[in-house]
Amino acid sequence: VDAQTIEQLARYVGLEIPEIDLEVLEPALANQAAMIEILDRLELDDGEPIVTFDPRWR
Amino acid sequence: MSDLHWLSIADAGRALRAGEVTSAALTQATLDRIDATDGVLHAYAGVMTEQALRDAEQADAELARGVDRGPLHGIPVGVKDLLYTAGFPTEAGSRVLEGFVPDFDAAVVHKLREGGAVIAGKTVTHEFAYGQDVPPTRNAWDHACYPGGSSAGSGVAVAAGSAFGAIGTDTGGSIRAPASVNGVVGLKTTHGRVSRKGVVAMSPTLDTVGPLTRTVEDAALLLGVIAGRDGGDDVWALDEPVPDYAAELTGDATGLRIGVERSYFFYDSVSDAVRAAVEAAIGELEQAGATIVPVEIEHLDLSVAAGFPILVADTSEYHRRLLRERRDLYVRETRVMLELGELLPATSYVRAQRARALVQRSVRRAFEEANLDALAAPTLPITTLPVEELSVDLTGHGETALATFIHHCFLANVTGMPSLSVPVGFDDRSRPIGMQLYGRPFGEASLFRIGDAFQRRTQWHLRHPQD
Repeated sequence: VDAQTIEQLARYVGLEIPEIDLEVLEPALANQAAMIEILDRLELDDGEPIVTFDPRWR
Repeated sequence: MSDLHWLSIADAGRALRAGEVTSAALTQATLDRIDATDGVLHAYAGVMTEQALRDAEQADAELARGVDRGPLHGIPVGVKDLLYTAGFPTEAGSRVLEGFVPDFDAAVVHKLREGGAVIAGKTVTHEFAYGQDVPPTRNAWDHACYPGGSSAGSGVAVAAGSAFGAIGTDTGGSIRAPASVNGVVGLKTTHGRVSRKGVVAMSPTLDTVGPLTRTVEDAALLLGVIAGRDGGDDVWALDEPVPDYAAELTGDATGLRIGVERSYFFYDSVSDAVRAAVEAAIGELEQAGATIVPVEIEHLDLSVAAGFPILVADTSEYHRRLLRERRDLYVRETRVMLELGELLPATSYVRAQRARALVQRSVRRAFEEANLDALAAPTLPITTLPVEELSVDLTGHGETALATFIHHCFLANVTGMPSLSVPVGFDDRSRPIGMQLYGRPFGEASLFRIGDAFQRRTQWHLRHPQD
């Protein structure tokens, strides 16, 4: 993940990122990607994600 | 009576009802203590002097008429500056909310007031509770050291005697860390035990509100007042009955089973002093009648990987508008975390929620198979550090001191379990050490019983820092 990728992603979500933040965001985002890689290696199909949806009207 | 500010909530309540002291005196003692200590400690973001004195007078007048609102009646407490207070600034430690004055009380503040508590002031938080900046607050035991966070002011105020108890919030250890490093009791409540209505949010599924006190008994009394919904339309807490926590304190731990998971919680980064103090505390609990059960629990090491994407994405969603409208008012480190959360793919978020379910199932299985009431572990792997030695980096690079804090604390937030931090000793530089007791969901009563049994057998909680 480089600065250019971050700027592209930021544009996509409508966010203007100051130059001064980019140098920290690069390693931070790379580290996040590494965490997600850990999760991707797991067998997780036998459980529901903890995102609740209740169709009842309350 | 002298040294009123060191009374426990329970003792202050008894003295009030016996006519030995007034709420006005307790409140004045608290305000005097704030004056004496806060120039150095900076525990308070704002002090409600006039309102507190008025509320104290009213509390005294009510008691004189026979109106007793319960265990917090007339007791001065501090409230983290993340909770809305009607008519008084709530700035969440940030220039972004500078001058913001809510027009209603957070549910917890409302419950405190209904319970007769006197709110002495708002305690300092890291900016928006993210733990990224360094607030002016200093550790009550060593003024050069980190006060814990993000409920820094609440932990320090209780330790320094400038509040009888305080309210904090915990999304990744923000009650337990300041409790541990300041030598006080702190409870991360079960998710949904205490209403989050009127609390500046980070994550709707990780955030919790809870008490910091000097004794476990006081934490039980405080939770009894703030737990549960604040009215029928309060959807920010689960509709679970609130037990009389204090009435269940028996002074012993007979019949309770406490698991110890050494491979995760006693790993290499745990200091010798912390290891020794917590092992000694576990031994004390065995003496108090508890059965200690060595356990191995799978997937604990996924807590951070599962919880972190949820935390950053949720928090960024809450700040979405503010980040675009007031970007330059954030501390840079907080802003970067908010930017980071906007850039995570939605699929990662759902993946993290799946992994979270795996961690929760694994912990539940361990509790059920070993029939556990609690799991004992160091609250933090190390004692506090000088502020300048702290690397404030929650982006997860390497294992900074703060990253080890998350390692030990995040499990409770990821699974929704309660966790009670109790002081269990000091290192050779007189810096406090905490032990946390993880419990079953809504199992706070068992944690109180264990922590109270420990405190009745030990005197760590009776030590106070020198000014």
